Amino acid sequence: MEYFVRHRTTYRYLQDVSHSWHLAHLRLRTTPTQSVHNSGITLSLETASRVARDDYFENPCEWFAIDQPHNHLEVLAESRVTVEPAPDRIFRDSLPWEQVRALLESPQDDEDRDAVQFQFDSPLTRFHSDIAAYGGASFPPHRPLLAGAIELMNRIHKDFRYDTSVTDVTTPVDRVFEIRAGVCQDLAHVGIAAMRAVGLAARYVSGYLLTEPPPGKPRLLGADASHAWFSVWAPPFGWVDLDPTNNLIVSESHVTSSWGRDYSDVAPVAGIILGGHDHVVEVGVDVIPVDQALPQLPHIAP
Amino acid sequence: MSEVAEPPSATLPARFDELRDAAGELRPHWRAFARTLASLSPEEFERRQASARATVQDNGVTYNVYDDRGGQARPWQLDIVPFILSAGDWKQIEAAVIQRAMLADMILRDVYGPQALIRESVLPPHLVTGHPQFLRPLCGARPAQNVHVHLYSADLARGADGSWRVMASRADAPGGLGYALENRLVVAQTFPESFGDMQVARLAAFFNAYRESILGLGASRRDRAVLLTPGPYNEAYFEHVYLAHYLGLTLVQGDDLAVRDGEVFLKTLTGLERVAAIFRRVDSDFCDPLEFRGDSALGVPGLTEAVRAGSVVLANALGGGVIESPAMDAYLPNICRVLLGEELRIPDISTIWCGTEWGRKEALARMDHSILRDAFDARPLFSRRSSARLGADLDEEERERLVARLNRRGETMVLQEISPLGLAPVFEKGEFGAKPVSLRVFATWTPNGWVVMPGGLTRVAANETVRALSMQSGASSKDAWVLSTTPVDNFSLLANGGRTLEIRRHGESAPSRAMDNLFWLGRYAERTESFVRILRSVAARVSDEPAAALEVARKLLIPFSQASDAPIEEIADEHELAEELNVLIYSPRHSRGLQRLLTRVEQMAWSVRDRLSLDTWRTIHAMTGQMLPPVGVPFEAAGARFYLDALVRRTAALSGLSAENMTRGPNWLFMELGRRVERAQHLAWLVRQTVGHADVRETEHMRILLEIADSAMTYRSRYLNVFQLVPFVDLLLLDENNPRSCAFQLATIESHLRELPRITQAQLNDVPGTIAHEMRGATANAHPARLAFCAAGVRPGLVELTDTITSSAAELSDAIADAYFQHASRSRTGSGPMVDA
Repeated sequence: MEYFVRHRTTYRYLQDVSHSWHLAHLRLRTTPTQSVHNSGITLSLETASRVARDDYFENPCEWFAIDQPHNHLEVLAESRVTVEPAPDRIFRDSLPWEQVRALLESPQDDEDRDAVQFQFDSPLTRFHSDIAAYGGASFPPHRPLLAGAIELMNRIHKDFRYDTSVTDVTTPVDRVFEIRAGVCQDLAHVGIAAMRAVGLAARYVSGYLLTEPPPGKPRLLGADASHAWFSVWAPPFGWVDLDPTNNLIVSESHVTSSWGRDYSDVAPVAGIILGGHDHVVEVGVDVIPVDQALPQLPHIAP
Repeated sequence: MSEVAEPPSATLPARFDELRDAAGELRPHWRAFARTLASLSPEEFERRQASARATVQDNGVTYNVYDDRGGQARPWQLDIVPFILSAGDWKQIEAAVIQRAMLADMILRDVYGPQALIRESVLPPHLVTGHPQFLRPLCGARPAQNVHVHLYSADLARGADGSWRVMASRADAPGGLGYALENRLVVAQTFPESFGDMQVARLAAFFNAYRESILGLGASRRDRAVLLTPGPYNEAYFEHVYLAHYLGLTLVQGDDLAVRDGEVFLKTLTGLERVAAIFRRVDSDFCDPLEFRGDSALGVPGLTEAVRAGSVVLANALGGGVIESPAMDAYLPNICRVLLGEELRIPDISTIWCGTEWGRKEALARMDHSILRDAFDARPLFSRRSSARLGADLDEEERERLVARLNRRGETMVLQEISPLGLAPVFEKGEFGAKPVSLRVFATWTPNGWVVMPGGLTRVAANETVRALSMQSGASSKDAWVLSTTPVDNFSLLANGGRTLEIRRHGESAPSRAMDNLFWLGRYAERTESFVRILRSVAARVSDEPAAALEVARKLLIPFSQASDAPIEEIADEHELAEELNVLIYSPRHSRGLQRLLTRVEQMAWSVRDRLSLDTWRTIHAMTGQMLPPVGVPFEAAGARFYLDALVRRTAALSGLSAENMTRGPNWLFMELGRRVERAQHLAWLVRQTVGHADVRETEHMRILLEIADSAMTYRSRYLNVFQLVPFVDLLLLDENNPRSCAFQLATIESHLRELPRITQAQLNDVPGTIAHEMRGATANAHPARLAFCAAGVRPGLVELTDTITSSAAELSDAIADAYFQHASRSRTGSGPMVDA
């Protein structure tokens, strides 16, 4: 499936900002099932410095600083990608979770060693609550890891209410766990923390989801949003992406932007401003299939 | 003194005694000092300890307990009996610390570079990529000459058999150098005879090596080198001030620095100045709010980008926390064999990482007589927020929970065995004893190899338990004397930097934040003086002339302490007044009381401690340090007068010191400006409150106000005892020759403003100059008789003029800030919560 993805972030400041610094994870990365034809960022202002590089997780990122006084900044990312369907996997064929744990304990190759870092708490998934017991319930002895992880995703989808009004980007996972509600990134964080609590490796994936306009209505521009889910390390398959918000195994309808330990590693645009007083952000996202022939999606939550 | 000859009574078995060998004989390297002690009478010893304590107190040496804001700084505890190390012991320590510093540097170079240690299975990846201080954005950023560690420290302690162990290592932002230096200066003065005779190794050459090596890494010597501190609320702020001064660096906070075009600059009064080297005392993960902790207000956005561009030397390089974890200790012996082909000269305390099957089994077997802690928790054992738990202390439920965690996530835990620390002689509460000690030793990188400071910071546990070693839990400290077998080098950094200095008539251009603080120090100091003078005039009258006292209180004291136009709470009689005075003078809880104001003066002074002379600081420190009557004691006028008189003298001493002893540079100018602006505003307000409205008791009011404004002598010398409004108004508002008049302040302000630099556009616009000029014009054109004109009980001319001065002074203060202090506040932006389809 080939997509055109546009992600527009607009900042409006109450007063002039004299200087600002930003770090953007907006260009799309290549994955085993995703090839990127082009991906770039356009800014509405001249930058004083601008550096594009790959971060530690090999996500493309861009650092830029603006020195002119401004009260408005637009960051536009546009990409064209092709996403292949995820290969069919027999859950039973993934290693029992205890064996995965043992592998994480004595990693054999670069892939194992890379997975190790996703076993540890990260800034937004550090927890004190009973997430360990919650996660543990999906991992009785000898269960194949993927079977356990998918059940965990089902449970999160069932137990957590999708609510855009109760959390923000800094809400710690303990709070989400307590109120049993949040947005896609909160649900992803719960999944990650629950996996790590059992001693397994899980990472955060930031990206986009193709949505379908209501029947008979045209596609509205800018109506979509960025999306997030989590990924579990399930040898021998490697990383398998799970979307707890929509309760499905990630496949052709998800476009991957970046991954990291949690949201804080891959925030689409982070910034520090001098002045400005207060600000509003508007985000508009379009995910448009290039051939416009829309496939039916599996059960997407309303 | 004979006490030293007794074996320490509290010695527990299985502890090493620094002073005596197993046979009870004094160890040879202690004999000379023991003789000195024996020659002192107990009184003389007490006198020396007291004088050392007073010096420490006077110098404002403190160790703040974090979060304890508001003057709660704890005086540094120093035991004058040094910790003495023989040349033989030192040789071993020196070699071991160099070995470890080299290792730390090599490990970090690998971890942030090729990661060969991980790929070759020497180091489990968990200990690196699982470490919260592993700062991914720095991978591949190569520091100058690939040096990661410029300053390294190790905490050493002796086991029962006398062999040394390392309790903790620091390679991110090691602390303690400044305290070690201060301890040395005080103790060397306390025992000048022993210090001279015993060939104690000197410290100055080490500091010189540290400074010169780092400066040598910077591109150009002409650029600025700074010491980056988290600021006055940091527990070790004293040390940062002290080191900046000693090393000749500008003390800065994150806000003082800015990254432009991949380079780091210092914000000064006259614009940006390039910074070549940063001596860093802010933890790495707080250094760049964009790339690391977004909640950090201490860092510099873009600093990481500047590091990647290689335009600035950070000492230490960012990210050194990785090697500080206890888990790393478990692998250090093997890393040492692989990297250096030798054994660790001094091992760490026995540590087992629980991330392996074997490790967990061992941990379960040993946990009852060991401690368990987070694998990456490098906080001092049992300090605040330390994760360490003694296995023996766990109850059934805790133990179960810990074992469950060990099985599930063993990789996040370590087990460490703690043996009792060695004992060193101490002198406390009039007698000798022995207390557990540890020794922090420092090493610095130089182009010609590592150099170890011959000495260190000795910390003395508050009691016998292992919990007592952190400075936060009330431990004390000692100087460490390393005995040399050869005559010592008397090189001193303060005396001679080894270079020929060019004559300079000005300091380097000043950081604008510091000038802002000095401006406010001037304002608060002046406000304190005014308030004290009002308080004193009320307190002096409260028993003899209660009616007058009430009058002054209603007109001046209460409005001043309320500082708003809110309805004034009526004070019915002198008893209520006395109660109110008690609160206003002594209570730290009254938000506009004298004690709060004094605290603000001290805090402001503390934040610019590096720019004040020791005498100035001591004077300010003494203002808050005076004994107060206990809470609940009824007001006592004589005591209050005595207290307030002393304060008036101290505020006078402060302004005298700044007038006579401060160089006429920006420091002085801004403090002076703050003082003048405050005084002009305050005087205008006083005159308006007193005679803005006509009153039958005007003569008495004028008399009291002249006393408050310290102009009574001048008035009398001109007009004797005849009090009339026209000469009164002229003297206090319009006479440019009276240093206590408004007009004098305005003239001074105008001339000070002319001295300020005019470089940036805001400075060239000169709004402060315009406001000051208009204010001065207003007083110059005013006629005293017109001001005294009274209609329907009000003096419209006087009210108008004084109101103008008060409001213009506020505008002037803001205008100076706008032109010179760059007040933009910093905040974070995110792209907002993500919303799903």
